Amino acid sequence: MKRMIALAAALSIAAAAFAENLTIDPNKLKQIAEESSVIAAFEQNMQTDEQFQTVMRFILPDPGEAKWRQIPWTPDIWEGRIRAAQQEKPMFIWAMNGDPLGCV
Amino acid sequence: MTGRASVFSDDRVIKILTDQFIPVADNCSFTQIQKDAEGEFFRKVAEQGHYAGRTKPTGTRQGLYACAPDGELLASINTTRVEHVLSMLNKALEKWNKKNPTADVPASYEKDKYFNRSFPEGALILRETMRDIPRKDKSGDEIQTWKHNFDHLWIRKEEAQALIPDNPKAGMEYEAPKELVRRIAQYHLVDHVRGEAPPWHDKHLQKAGLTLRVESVDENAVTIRLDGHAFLEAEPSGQTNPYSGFKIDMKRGMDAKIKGVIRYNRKTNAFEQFDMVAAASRWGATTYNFRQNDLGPAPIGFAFELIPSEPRNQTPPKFLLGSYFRNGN
Repeated sequence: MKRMIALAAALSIAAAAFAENLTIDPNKLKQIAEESSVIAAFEQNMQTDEQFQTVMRFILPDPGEAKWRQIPWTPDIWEGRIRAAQQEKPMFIWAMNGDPLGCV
Repeated sequence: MTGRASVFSDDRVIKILTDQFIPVADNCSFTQIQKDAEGEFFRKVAEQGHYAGRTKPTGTRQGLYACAPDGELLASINTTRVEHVLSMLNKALEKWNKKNPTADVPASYEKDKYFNRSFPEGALILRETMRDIPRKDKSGDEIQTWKHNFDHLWIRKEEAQALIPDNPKAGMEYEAPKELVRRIAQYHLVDHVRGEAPPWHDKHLQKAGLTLRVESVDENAVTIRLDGHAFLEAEPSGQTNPYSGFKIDMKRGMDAKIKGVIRYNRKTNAFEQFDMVAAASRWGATTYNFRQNDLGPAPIGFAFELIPSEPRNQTPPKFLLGSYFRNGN
Protein backbone atom coordinates (compact mmCIF):
# COMPACT_ATOMS: atom_id res chain seq x y z
CA MET A 1 0.00 0.00 0.00
CA LYS A 2 2.76 2.40 1.05
CA ARG A 3 4.73 1.65 -2.10
CA MET A 4 1.65 2.19 -4.24
CA ILE A 5 1.05 5.61 -2.68
CA ALA A 6 4.70 6.57 -3.16
CA LEU A 7 4.67 5.35 -6.75
CA ALA A 8 1.44 7.21 -7.47
CA ALA A 9 2.87 10.42 -6.04
CA ALA A 10 6.09 10.09 -8.05
CA LEU A 11 4.17 9.28 -11.24
CA SER A 12 1.87 12.23 -10.77
CA ILE A 13 4.85 14.60 -10.44
CA ALA A 14 6.51 13.01 -13.47
CA ALA A 15 3.30 13.38 -15.50
CA ALA A 16 2.95 17.02 -14.48
CA ALA A 17 6.55 17.72 -15.42
CA PHE A 18 6.08 15.95 -18.77
CA ALA A 19 2.93 17.96 -19.49
CA GLU A 20 4.78 21.19 -18.80
CA ASN A 21 7.88 20.03 -20.67
CA LEU A 22 10.00 20.40 -17.54
CA THR A 23 13.12 18.53 -16.52
CA ILE A 24 12.46 15.99 -13.78
CA ASP A 25 14.79 16.32 -10.84
CA PRO A 26 15.44 12.73 -9.68
CA ASN A 27 16.30 13.89 -6.18
CA LYS A 28 12.99 15.70 -5.90
CA LEU A 29 11.14 12.58 -7.04
CA LYS A 30 13.02 10.51 -4.49
CA GLN A 31 12.16 13.00 -1.76
CA ILE A 32 8.47 13.01 -2.70
CA ALA A 33 8.36 9.22 -2.76
CA GLU A 34 10.05 9.02 0.63
CA GLU A 35 7.75 11.59 2.18
CA SER A 36 4.68 9.82 0.80
CA SER A 37 5.87 6.57 2.36
CA VAL A 38 6.43 8.26 5.71
CA ILE A 39 2.99 9.92 5.65
CA ALA A 40 1.30 6.61 4.85
CA ALA A 41 3.22 4.71 7.55
CA PHE A 42 2.54 7.43 10.07
CA GLU A 43 -1.18 7.61 9.36
CA GLN A 44 -1.50 3.84 9.65
CA ASN A 45 0.18 3.90 13.08
CA MET A 46 3.20 1.89 11.86
CA GLN A 47 1.18 -1.33 11.73
CA THR A 48 3.90 -3.32 9.99
CA ASP A 49 7.58 -3.63 10.78
CA GLU A 50 8.37 -2.05 7.41
CA GLN A 51 6.25 0.99 8.28
CA PHE A 52 7.94 1.23 11.68
CA GLN A 53 11.36 1.18 10.02
CA THR A 54 10.26 3.78 7.44
CA VAL A 55 9.26 6.27 10.12
CA MET A 56 12.29 5.50 12.29
CA ARG A 57 14.70 6.05 9.40
CA PHE A 58 13.04 9.32 8.48
CA ILE A 59 13.33 10.73 11.99
CA LEU A 60 16.91 9.62 12.68
CA PRO A 61 19.67 11.92 11.41
CA ASP A 62 21.24 11.05 8.10
CA PRO A 63 25.07 10.79 7.97
CA GLY A 64 25.42 14.44 6.97
CA GLU A 65 23.30 15.60 9.90
CA ALA A 66 25.32 13.48 12.32
CA LYS A 67 28.74 14.53 11.04
CA TRP A 68 29.45 16.69 14.10
CA ARG A 69 29.49 13.47 16.14
CA GLN A 70 32.73 12.45 14.40
CA ILE A 71 34.52 14.79 16.81
CA PRO A 72 35.51 12.78 19.93
CA TRP A 73 33.57 14.96 22.37
CA THR A 74 33.60 14.37 26.07
CA PRO A 75 30.54 15.65 27.94
CA ASP A 76 32.52 16.31 31.14
CA ILE A 77 34.84 19.32 31.63
CA TRP A 78 36.86 17.69 34.40
CA GLU A 79 37.41 14.53 32.38
CA GLY A 80 38.50 16.72 29.46
CA ARG A 81 40.90 18.57 31.71
CA ILE A 82 42.46 15.31 32.89
CA ARG A 83 42.89 14.09 29.32
CA ALA A 84 44.35 17.41 28.21
CA ALA A 85 46.96 17.27 30.97
CA GLN A 86 47.80 13.62 30.25
CA GLN A 87 48.06 14.12 26.49
CA GLU A 88 49.66 17.59 26.69
CA LYS A 89 47.02 19.12 24.46
CA PRO A 90 44.88 22.25 24.85
CA MET A 91 41.18 21.95 25.64
CA PHE A 92 38.37 23.17 23.44
CA ILE A 93 35.11 23.84 25.31
CA TRP A 94 31.81 24.17 23.44
CA ALA A 95 29.62 25.79 26.12
CA MET A 96 25.91 26.33 25.71
CA ASN A 97 22.85 26.94 27.84
CA GLY A 98 21.71 23.38 27.26
CA ASP A 99 23.67 20.24 26.43
CA PRO A 100 25.41 20.71 23.05
CA LEU A 101 25.39 16.93 22.53
CA GLY A 102 21.78 16.60 23.60
CA CYS A 103 18.72 18.79 23.78
CA VAL A 104 19.49 22.45 23.27
CA MET B 1 21.04 23.95 16.57
CA THR B 2 23.04 25.94 14.04
CA GLY B 3 26.57 25.25 15.29
CA ARG B 4 26.29 21.50 14.72
CA ALA B 5 25.72 22.02 11.00
CA SER B 6 27.65 25.20 10.31
CA VAL B 7 30.76 24.74 12.43
CA PHE B 8 31.16 21.20 13.74
CA SER B 9 30.29 19.46 10.47
CA ASP B 10 33.10 21.26 8.64
CA ASP B 11 35.92 18.86 7.74
CA ARG B 12 38.63 21.35 8.72
CA VAL B 13 37.11 21.92 12.15
CA ILE B 14 36.57 18.18 12.70
CA LYS B 15 40.25 17.48 11.86
CA ILE B 16 41.77 20.24 13.95
CA LEU B 17 39.63 19.47 17.01
CA THR B 18 40.22 15.72 16.71
CA ASP B 19 43.97 15.93 16.17
CA GLN B 20 45.08 18.91 18.19
CA PHE B 21 42.59 19.52 21.01
CA ILE B 22 40.67 17.68 23.69
CA PRO B 23 37.11 18.63 22.68
CA VAL B 24 34.56 19.08 25.46
CA ALA B 25 30.84 19.87 25.18
CA ASP B 26 29.35 21.49 28.26
CA ASN B 27 25.99 22.70 29.49
CA CYS B 28 27.18 25.96 31.04
CA SER B 29 23.77 26.71 32.55
CA PHE B 30 25.03 24.52 35.37
CA THR B 31 28.81 24.91 35.33
CA GLN B 32 28.69 28.70 35.39
CA ILE B 33 27.00 28.53 38.82
CA GLN B 34 28.21 25.18 40.19
CA LYS B 35 29.86 25.46 43.62
CA ASP B 36 32.65 22.96 43.07
CA ALA B 37 36.05 22.65 41.40
CA GLU B 38 34.57 22.07 37.95
CA GLY B 39 32.44 25.23 38.22
CA GLU B 40 35.43 27.24 39.47
CA PHE B 41 37.52 26.00 36.57
CA PHE B 42 34.89 26.91 33.97
CA ARG B 43 34.33 30.36 35.47
CA LYS B 44 38.08 30.97 35.53
CA VAL B 45 38.26 30.20 31.80
CA ALA B 46 35.11 32.10 30.85
CA GLU B 47 36.02 35.21 32.81
CA GLN B 48 39.04 35.67 30.55
CA GLY B 49 36.89 35.36 27.42
CA HIS B 50 34.34 37.14 25.28
CA TYR B 51 31.64 37.54 27.95
CA ALA B 52 33.91 38.42 30.86
CA GLY B 53 31.96 40.16 33.58
CA ARG B 54 28.72 40.07 31.67
CA THR B 55 25.54 40.41 33.74
CA LYS B 56 23.11 41.91 31.20
CA PRO B 57 20.98 41.04 29.29
CA THR B 58 21.86 37.71 30.94
CA GLY B 59 24.82 36.23 32.79
CA THR B 60 25.37 33.59 30.15
CA ARG B 61 28.86 32.32 29.35
CA GLN B 62 27.88 30.53 26.14
CA GLY B 63 30.53 30.25 23.48
CA LEU B 64 33.66 28.49 22.29
CA TYR B 65 36.76 28.50 24.48
CA ALA B 66 40.25 27.16 23.92
CA CYS B 67 42.28 26.89 27.09
CA ALA B 68 45.21 25.15 28.73
CA PRO B 69 44.44 22.44 31.29
CA ASP B 70 45.51 24.88 34.03
CA GLY B 71 42.70 27.26 32.98
CA GLU B 72 44.71 29.85 31.05
CA LEU B 73 42.58 31.10 28.16
CA LEU B 74 44.11 30.73 24.70
CA ALA B 75 41.23 32.20 22.67
CA SER B 76 37.45 32.45 22.72
CA ILE B 77 34.53 33.47 20.52
CA ASN B 78 30.76 33.08 20.29
CA THR B 79 29.77 32.55 16.67
CA THR B 80 28.33 30.04 14.22
CA ARG B 81 30.58 31.26 11.37
CA VAL B 82 33.07 28.55 10.56
CA GLU B 83 35.85 30.79 9.23
CA HIS B 84 35.82 32.79 12.46
CA VAL B 85 36.04 29.59 14.49
CA LEU B 86 38.97 28.32 12.42
CA SER B 87 40.76 31.61 12.94
CA MET B 88 40.14 31.37 16.69
CA LEU B 89 41.47 27.79 16.79
CA ASN B 90 44.64 28.71 14.93
CA LYS B 91 45.21 31.68 17.21
CA ALA B 92 44.78 29.36 20.21
CA LEU B 93 47.29 26.86 18.81
CA GLU B 94 49.84 29.63 18.17
CA LYS B 95 49.59 30.65 21.80
CA TRP B 96 49.64 27.04 23.00
CA ASN B 97 52.78 26.24 21.04
CA LYS B 98 54.62 28.97 22.94
CA LYS B 99 53.59 27.49 26.27
CA ASN B 100 55.12 24.68 28.29
CA PRO B 101 52.57 21.94 27.58
CA THR B 102 53.11 20.04 30.82
CA ALA B 103 50.47 20.46 33.49
CA ASP B 104 49.55 18.65 36.66
CA VAL B 105 46.81 16.08 36.14
CA PRO B 106 43.91 17.43 38.20
CA ALA B 107 42.73 15.41 41.18
CA SER B 108 39.16 14.27 41.69
CA TYR B 109 36.80 16.65 43.48
CA GLU B 110 33.53 16.62 45.37
CA LYS B 111 30.67 17.50 43.03
CA ASP B 112 28.12 20.14 43.93
CA LYS B 113 25.28 17.86 45.06
CA TYR B 114 22.62 20.21 43.69
CA PHE B 115 23.93 19.77 40.17
CA ASN B 116 24.94 16.16 40.37
CA ARG B 117 23.91 14.60 37.06
CA SER B 118 25.84 11.35 37.43
CA PHE B 119 24.99 8.38 35.26
CA PRO B 120 23.25 5.53 37.16
CA GLU B 121 25.40 2.41 37.20
CA GLY B 122 24.29 -0.22 34.70
CA ALA B 123 21.65 2.01 33.08
CA LEU B 124 20.71 1.94 29.40
CA ILE B 125 20.98 4.99 27.16
CA LEU B 126 18.52 5.52 24.34
CA ARG B 127 19.40 8.43 22.09
CA GLU B 128 16.26 10.32 21.12
CA THR B 129 15.80 12.25 17.88
CA MET B 130 12.70 14.35 17.22
CA ARG B 131 11.54 15.79 13.92
CA ASP B 132 8.41 17.06 12.17
CA ILE B 133 6.71 14.60 9.83
CA PRO B 134 5.69 15.66 6.29
CA ARG B 135 2.00 16.27 5.68
CA LYS B 136 -0.24 15.68 2.70
CA ASP B 137 -0.81 19.42 2.27
CA LYS B 138 2.75 20.54 3.04
CA SER B 139 6.04 19.11 1.78
CA GLY B 140 9.05 18.42 3.96
CA ASP B 141 10.68 21.57 2.58
CA GLU B 142 7.70 23.69 3.61
CA ILE B 143 7.69 22.43 7.17
CA GLN B 144 11.48 22.32 7.33
CA THR B 145 11.92 18.67 8.20
CA TRP B 146 15.68 19.20 8.31
CA LYS B 147 15.13 20.78 11.73
CA HIS B 148 15.53 18.22 14.46
CA ASN B 149 16.71 17.91 18.04
CA PHE B 150 18.10 15.28 20.37
CA ASP B 151 17.81 14.10 23.94
CA HIS B 152 18.83 11.02 25.89
CA LEU B 153 16.54 8.63 27.74
CA TRP B 154 18.13 6.94 30.74
CA ILE B 155 16.62 3.62 31.85
CA ARG B 156 17.82 2.38 35.22
CA LYS B 157 19.27 -1.11 35.42
CA GLU B 158 16.34 -2.51 37.41
CA GLU B 159 13.83 -0.95 35.00
CA ALA B 160 15.63 -2.48 32.04
CA GLN B 161 15.63 -5.87 33.75
CA ALA B 162 11.88 -5.59 34.31
CA LEU B 163 11.40 -5.41 30.54
CA ILE B 164 12.76 -8.93 30.09
CA PRO B 165 10.78 -11.80 31.66
CA ASP B 166 12.65 -14.48 33.60
CA ASN B 167 11.11 -17.29 31.55
CA PRO B 168 10.02 -15.72 28.29
CA LYS B 169 7.56 -17.55 26.08
CA ALA B 170 6.30 -16.44 22.70
CA GLY B 171 3.00 -14.58 23.03
CA MET B 172 3.56 -13.56 26.64
CA GLU B 173 2.23 -10.03 27.32
CA TYR B 174 2.98 -7.68 30.20
CA GLU B 175 3.20 -3.98 31.03
CA ALA B 176 6.33 -1.83 31.24
CA PRO B 177 7.07 -0.28 34.65
CA LYS B 178 4.69 2.64 35.17
CA GLU B 179 7.48 4.91 36.33
CA LEU B 180 9.38 4.34 33.09
CA VAL B 181 6.27 5.04 31.01
CA ARG B 182 5.65 8.22 33.00
CA ARG B 183 9.22 9.37 32.41
CA ILE B 184 9.05 8.72 28.68
CA ALA B 185 5.73 10.57 28.38
CA GLN B 186 6.45 13.59 30.58
CA TYR B 187 10.10 14.19 29.75
CA HIS B 188 10.65 12.74 26.28
CA LEU B 189 7.45 13.39 24.33
CA VAL B 190 8.18 17.11 24.44
CA ASP B 191 8.33 19.22 21.30
CA HIS B 192 11.85 20.71 21.12
CA VAL B 193 12.11 20.44 17.32
CA ARG B 194 12.43 24.20 16.76
CA GLY B 195 13.14 25.42 20.27
CA GLU B 196 13.05 24.36 23.86
CA ALA B 197 9.87 23.55 25.74
CA PRO B 198 9.12 22.72 29.38
CA PRO B 199 8.35 19.15 30.49
CA TRP B 200 4.86 17.86 31.08
CA HIS B 201 3.77 17.71 34.71
CA ASP B 202 1.83 14.94 36.45
CA LYS B 203 -1.46 16.77 35.98
CA HIS B 204 -0.90 16.94 32.21
CA LEU B 205 -0.52 13.18 31.81
CA GLN B 206 -4.04 11.98 31.12
CA LYS B 207 -3.20 8.44 30.05
CA ALA B 208 -0.17 6.38 29.09
CA GLY B 209 0.73 2.74 28.78
CA LEU B 210 3.31 0.48 27.19
CA THR B 211 2.59 -3.20 26.57
CA LEU B 212 5.35 -5.67 25.78
CA ARG B 213 4.75 -8.89 23.88
CA VAL B 214 7.33 -11.64 23.44
CA GLU B 215 7.50 -12.23 19.71
CA SER B 216 10.10 -14.98 19.60
CA VAL B 217 12.48 -16.69 21.93
CA ASP B 218 15.26 -19.24 21.63
CA GLU B 219 18.29 -20.16 23.72
CA ASN B 220 20.29 -17.20 22.39
CA ALA B 221 17.87 -14.29 22.27
CA VAL B 222 14.42 -12.98 22.95
CA THR B 223 12.65 -10.49 20.70
CA ILE B 224 9.96 -8.32 22.23
CA ARG B 225 7.54 -5.90 20.57
CA LEU B 226 6.35 -2.71 22.25
CA ASP B 227 2.97 -1.13 21.71
CA GLY B 228 1.85 1.91 23.65
CA HIS B 229 0.24 5.29 23.79
CA ALA B 230 0.31 8.56 25.69
CA PHE B 231 -2.00 11.56 25.86
CA LEU B 232 -0.86 14.78 27.48
CA GLU B 233 -2.48 18.19 27.56
CA ALA B 234 -1.70 21.43 29.37
CA GLU B 235 -3.73 24.58 29.91
CA PRO B 236 -2.45 27.79 28.28
CA SER B 237 0.48 29.24 30.21
CA GLY B 238 -0.57 32.84 29.47
CA GLN B 239 3.11 33.72 29.00
CA THR B 240 4.31 35.99 26.20
CA ASN B 241 7.46 35.52 24.12
CA PRO B 242 9.50 38.67 24.83
CA TYR B 243 10.89 38.79 21.28
CA SER B 244 7.87 37.97 19.08
CA GLY B 245 5.15 39.19 21.43
CA PHE B 246 3.28 35.92 20.85
CA LYS B 247 1.02 35.03 23.77
CA ILE B 248 0.46 31.41 24.77
CA ASP B 249 -3.32 31.48 25.04
CA MET B 250 -4.28 28.02 23.81
CA LYS B 251 -3.88 24.52 25.18
CA ARG B 252 -0.90 22.46 24.11
CA GLY B 253 -1.00 18.73 23.79
CA MET B 254 0.52 15.51 22.52
CA ASP B 255 -1.34 12.37 21.45
CA ALA B 256 1.19 9.62 20.72
CA LYS B 257 1.17 6.06 19.49
CA ILE B 258 4.30 4.14 20.47
CA LYS B 259 5.84 1.14 18.74
CA GLY B 260 9.15 -0.56 19.32
CA VAL B 261 11.28 -3.64 19.30
CA ILE B 262 13.77 -5.01 21.83
CA ARG B 263 16.29 -7.76 21.16
CA TYR B 264 17.94 -9.18 24.25
CA ASN B 265 20.88 -11.57 24.21
CA ARG B 266 20.22 -14.32 26.75
CA LYS B 267 23.81 -15.57 26.64
CA THR B 268 25.45 -12.24 27.45
CA ASN B 269 22.48 -10.77 29.32
CA ALA B 270 22.71 -7.64 27.22
CA PHE B 271 20.34 -5.52 25.19
CA GLU B 272 21.39 -5.68 21.54
CA GLN B 273 18.59 -3.58 20.11
CA PHE B 274 16.08 -1.17 21.60
CA ASP B 275 14.31 0.80 18.89
CA MET B 276 11.21 2.80 19.70
CA VAL B 277 9.15 5.38 17.81
CA ALA B 278 6.44 7.66 19.11
CA ALA B 279 4.28 8.92 16.25
CA ALA B 280 2.32 11.82 17.62
CA SER B 281 -0.04 14.63 16.91
CA ARG B 282 0.96 17.84 18.70
CA TRP B 283 -0.89 21.10 19.14
CA GLY B 284 -0.34 24.48 20.75
CA ALA B 285 2.93 26.20 21.57
CA THR B 286 5.25 27.12 24.41
CA THR B 287 6.98 30.41 25.05
CA TYR B 288 10.20 29.44 23.30
CA ASN B 289 9.45 26.55 20.93
CA PHE B 290 8.68 28.72 17.90
CA ARG B 291 5.36 27.14 16.98
CA GLN B 292 3.38 30.38 16.80
CA ASN B 293 2.89 29.99 13.02
CA ASP B 294 2.23 26.25 13.11
CA LEU B 295 -0.06 25.54 16.03
CA GLY B 296 -1.32 22.23 14.68
CA PRO B 297 -2.62 19.66 15.22
CA ALA B 298 0.37 18.45 13.22
CA PRO B 299 2.45 15.26 13.10
CA ILE B 300 5.72 14.94 14.98
CA GLY B 301 7.96 11.92 15.46
CA PHE B 302 10.28 10.82 18.27
CA ALA B 303 12.75 7.99 17.55
CA PHE B 304 14.80 6.24 20.24
CA GLU B 305 17.81 3.99 19.59
CA LEU B 306 20.14 2.15 21.95
CA ILE B 307 23.69 3.49 22.18
CA PRO B 308 26.59 2.14 24.28
CA SER B 309 26.51 3.27 27.92
CA GLU B 310 30.09 4.54 27.77
CA PRO B 311 31.18 7.88 29.27
CA ARG B 312 31.26 9.78 25.97
CA ASN B 313 27.54 8.99 25.52
CA GLN B 314 26.51 10.02 29.02
CA THR B 315 25.14 13.45 28.19
CA PRO B 316 22.29 13.70 30.69
CA PRO B 317 18.62 13.88 29.74
CA LYS B 318 17.43 17.47 29.47
CA PHE B 319 15.13 17.18 32.47
CA LEU B 320 17.32 14.99 34.67
CA LEU B 321 17.32 17.40 37.59
CA GLY B 322 13.99 17.49 39.39
CA SER B 323 11.71 14.47 39.34
CA TYR B 324 13.14 12.60 36.35
CA PHE B 325 13.84 9.60 38.57
CA ARG B 326 11.43 8.71 41.32
CA ASN B 327 11.67 5.84 43.74
CA GLY B 328 9.74 2.68 43.08
CA ASN B 329 7.66 1.64 40.14
